[in-house]
Amino acid sequence: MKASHLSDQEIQRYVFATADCEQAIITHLQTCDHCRNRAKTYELIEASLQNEPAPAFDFDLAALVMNELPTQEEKFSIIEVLAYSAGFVGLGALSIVIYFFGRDLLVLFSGVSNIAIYMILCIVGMIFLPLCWEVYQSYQRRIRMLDFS
Amino acid sequence: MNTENINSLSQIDPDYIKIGVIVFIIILVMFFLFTILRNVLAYRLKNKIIDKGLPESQVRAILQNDNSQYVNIKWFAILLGTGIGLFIVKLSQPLGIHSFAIMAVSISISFLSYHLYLQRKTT
Repeated sequence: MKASHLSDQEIQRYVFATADCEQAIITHLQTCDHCRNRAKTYELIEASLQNEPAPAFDFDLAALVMNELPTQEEKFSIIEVLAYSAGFVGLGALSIVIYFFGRDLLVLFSGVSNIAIYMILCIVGMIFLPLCWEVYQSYQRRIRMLDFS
Repeated sequence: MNTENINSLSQIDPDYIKIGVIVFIIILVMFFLFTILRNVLAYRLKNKIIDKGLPESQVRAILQNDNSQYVNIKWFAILLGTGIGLFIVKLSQPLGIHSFAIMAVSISISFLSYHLYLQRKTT
């Protein structure tokens, strides 16, 4: 049995974790009114704390947090679906025109010499291929800038 | 008045009209392909920028087009070169391999002149 009064830590251990408490502390509390009163005070504090309502915010925290969370984007937006649909409709229309009027369109190329057609293709290619290459180079340069940043 | 216009139109060689339509179709197809390429690459680039989550200043620096103010000069140079080339081809008819050479040289000179103009402007 302890001769001196118990410390706050020993009393708290008795009140909140009696199973882990040393036998000497228990024996002291059975004989010492002062320490028993202190232990009862701790028990009252614990009981009043348990009766306290759980702390809560006066606003809907869950709703606020949910609004701030990034939402997963839809796999296909409406604009993309419309764009793809328009593309397919266009391709379909082009296919129909080629299927029904293809022979008539070929007449357009008849009577024009092959070398003139090759010339036109060559000129248009010589203009547009460097432009495509320039766009691709610009894209590569920006990707490199992105990788370094 | 209308009769005169119809008569003047009927005097145009049908082959010239055919060639005009062929040129129009080919340019339309090439411009379509060029626009698709440009938009697809821009889309991929912007997606990558969003994935990286870069600050606005860096995004502006990456997306700014340095030569966008000279695009008119570029097309002026290209069309001038093409026009001069076609004029020389017209003078050196009939069409042959030399015509392709003339067009290649004139278009390359137009690109070179545009490049030199850009260099002069940027330095």
